[in-house]
Amino acid sequence: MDVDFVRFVPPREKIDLFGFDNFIVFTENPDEVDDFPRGYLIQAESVADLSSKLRRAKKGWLVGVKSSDPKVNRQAVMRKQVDILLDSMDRKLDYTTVKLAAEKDVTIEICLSKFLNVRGLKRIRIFEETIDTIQIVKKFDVPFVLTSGASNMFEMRPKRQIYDFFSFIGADVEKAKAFMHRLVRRLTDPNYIMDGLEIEG
Amino acid sequence: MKGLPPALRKRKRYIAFRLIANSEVESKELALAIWESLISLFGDYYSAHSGIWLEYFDGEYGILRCHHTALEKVKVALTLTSRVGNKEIIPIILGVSGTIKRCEKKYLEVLKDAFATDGL
Repeated sequence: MDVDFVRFVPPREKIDLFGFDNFIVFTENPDEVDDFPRGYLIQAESVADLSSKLRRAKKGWLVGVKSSDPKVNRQAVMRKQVDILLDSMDRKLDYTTVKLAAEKDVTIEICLSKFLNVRGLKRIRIFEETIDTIQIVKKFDVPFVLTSGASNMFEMRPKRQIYDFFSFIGADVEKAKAFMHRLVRRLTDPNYIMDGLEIEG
Repeated sequence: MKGLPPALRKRKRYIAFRLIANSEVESKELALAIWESLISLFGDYYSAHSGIWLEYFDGEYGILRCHHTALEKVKVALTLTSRVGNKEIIPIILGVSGTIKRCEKKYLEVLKDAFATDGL
């Protein structure tokens, strides 16, 4: 199942253009989303902020944390409720956090939209950081997903183009698809416990 | 260079694409935007070997020519093209072909209404 993560509710009539089976919409208020699986977007700039926002998370939501502070990201990885570290232009991850994500089974999102609206030096830095992240993710077999991360319609791209782009910069697309499949099953399939273990009947 | 013997000519690839924009886009503007994206991503040296040429563009569907060695780079540059002037765009690659005739037939006639990922 190919799923994309977006930060807005995409128009139904345009969805077929992009070739995904479904979209998970990450917003700060997931109760407003009806048509798509819900993702709870926690934008936190301090650990206290993260803790208070995590208390509002409900069962059945995919909880994603977005922060430009490496300390917050590290704290987020250690929290049981957090499923995914969301990507953005100013996300800062350190080596320890990525390594810890593998241990705690927290997924790391790598998105395309951050490359679209910047040019020059800023984009060079984003390329550098993304390639570094991909290398560390490979080294420790960290769960990761490749998404558009679009916050509006014009940041969306077809599935194949997203995968082609990340494959060009060195990501293992097949692994990312497998991790995405696992993450979606965890959210939608009540019989799923872990890889190779599920309730039958 | 003109007049090269066949063995020295570079093989070409034709990329069929669809453009979704918030207002009308002209072919010259689009070609310029793709060139700018390519140069910004790969620099002058590698862009020089790309052989980009906008063969056809009717405002929504188009065919972009490039050398076969630069195909991946051109696809990446096209994916990262998000603006033409002040207009926001979504470039959707429909498919790649080795001849313009096949490209037109396959992607712009037969599969025009197919999905970008599943139907081609």
